[in-house]
Amino acid sequence: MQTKTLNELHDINMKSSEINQLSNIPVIWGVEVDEIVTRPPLGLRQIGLLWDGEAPDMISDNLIDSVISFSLAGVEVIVEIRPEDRIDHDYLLVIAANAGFCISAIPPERKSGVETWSNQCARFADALMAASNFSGNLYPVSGYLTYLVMEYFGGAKAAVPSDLYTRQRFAEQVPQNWSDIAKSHMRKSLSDAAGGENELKGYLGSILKAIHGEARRQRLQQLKAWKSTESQTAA
Amino acid sequence: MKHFTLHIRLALDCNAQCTYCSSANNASGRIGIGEFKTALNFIADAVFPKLGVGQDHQLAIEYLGGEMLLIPEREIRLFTEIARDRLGPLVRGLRQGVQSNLIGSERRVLALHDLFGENIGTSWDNYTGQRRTGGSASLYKAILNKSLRTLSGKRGFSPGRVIVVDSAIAEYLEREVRDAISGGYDLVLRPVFKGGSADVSHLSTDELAMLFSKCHKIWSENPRVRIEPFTSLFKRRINRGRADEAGEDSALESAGCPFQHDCAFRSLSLGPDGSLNVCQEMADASRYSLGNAILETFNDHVWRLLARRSFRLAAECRNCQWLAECAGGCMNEAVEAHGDPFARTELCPAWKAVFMEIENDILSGRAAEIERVMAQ
Repeated sequence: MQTKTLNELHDINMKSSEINQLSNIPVIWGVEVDEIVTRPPLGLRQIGLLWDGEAPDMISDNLIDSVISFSLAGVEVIVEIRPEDRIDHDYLLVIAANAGFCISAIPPERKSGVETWSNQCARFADALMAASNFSGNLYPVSGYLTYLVMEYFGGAKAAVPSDLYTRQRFAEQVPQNWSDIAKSHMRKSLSDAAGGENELKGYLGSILKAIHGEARRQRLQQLKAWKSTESQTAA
Repeated sequence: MKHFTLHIRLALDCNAQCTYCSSANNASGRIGIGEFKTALNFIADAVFPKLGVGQDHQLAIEYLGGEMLLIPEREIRLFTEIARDRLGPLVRGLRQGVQSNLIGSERRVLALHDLFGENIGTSWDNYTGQRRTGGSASLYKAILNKSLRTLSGKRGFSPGRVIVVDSAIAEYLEREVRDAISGGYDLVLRPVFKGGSADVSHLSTDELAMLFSKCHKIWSENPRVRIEPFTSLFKRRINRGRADEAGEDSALESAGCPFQHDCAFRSLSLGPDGSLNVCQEMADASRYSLGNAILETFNDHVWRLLARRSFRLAAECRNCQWLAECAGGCMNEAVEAHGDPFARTELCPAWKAVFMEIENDILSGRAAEIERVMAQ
């Protein structure tokens, strides 16, 4: 069998049954699940699987089994939501937290889809603010929240994404003006969910405080463990 | 660090006749050494890879009854060595423990401690007389107390104890919790399940909720021993939002039965006939067979169905404020009540009652003091 390039496969709307034709590609995205892959290709670290559901709050068995298979093989799974997909955002965040996968609101292929995509991002931003136990990545909302923290407290004007998925799926695919529209929607949604711009700033501050507090708590525990080891050694 | 529990029943035979137990008066024989090796080879080569168990895992092997003390000492040692040598290299850490009624001679009880160290748990019921040997509750109690004195006197060890909570024990449960605190031993309060015996007498969910609420209050006033489910649920709730410091201890701490929705990835039960189930309770109830390790069969279709629970929890659970801590509760309980592994467990009101107590402790500021005493 001849090995195809990633671009060739994306051109033909890639299916899960085709991914074993690839090798040594760390990130694949836009994969439609048409069969359960039991042995992911070598070198694969991250995969974006397109949403497949029987209802907005009913993920399909096929997608579940695929998430399980890739996760068990040590591949990080991102469930990708197209702008036109009808989903229950709160539901998806809960099951993502339960099952340990990430979520991505993927951008449209055409300009006509930008408003729908931006609304999708805004709904996710709103759901994220209410989610109590989701700690994975929610693209592009998590990245935007990180940027807001930097902007508010560090004066950052822009953030360059460091991970391959964000670079390939968003930074290199989305024109700046599309991105600005989505950011504007997300910001409004975050602000509304927080109760206003000042409250949003307070929320971002609490994120920083929580990070600092947790780091301090862990440092104290390490120090305590180290002292205990020292005293045992001395004894 | 992830954790995985392998429940192993070497035999179903038991020397006791407890009213609510599936093993009462059982005498069906034990697994042979050759069969045991075949079963472990199959689990190591075919089952663990499917379940993703590997070098990220802390593996806990729990030997359950039937009663382990009915198996010759030399054989128990051999079984544990086989398990250690075959499964130990596959995982990051391995711990072997045993649940025994301790109805045996002093020599056998000490030998059990020599083999398993402090990873020994026992069953407990100080008041109702439902635990019996030779038809006698007083004989059971006398032998058990002698074994506990032996372990305490000669090994300085007091095993954690499991109480099966049914309607008979309800009026004594608060006293049992106080006894555990004053006696300095850990206690697990485990609501009785139907799979064990036809004679079980359940408490209603409201009665159980009220009882657990009262017992939680008693524990929270003096939380220096581990009383389950209170200790685990308190820790989970108080740690919400804190980073998970993955480590061996952390993995054991968070080992979550019955508060997990991903049991299919976290436990496996091997019966003396080679039968495989997700846990020993599903095995007792003969539900969702995963195959047979001696015959080297694994039912992938059934396992996948159960593995979907994390994605298919009932809407009431998904929308519950304590989902992160309760994780939907016990899958077997859900099947027992509704015939549906994705349904909400019938014990939900009892867990909610405990969570309400914890929230009160947080609101009143007592939680910090509870945490401080627990850490001592």
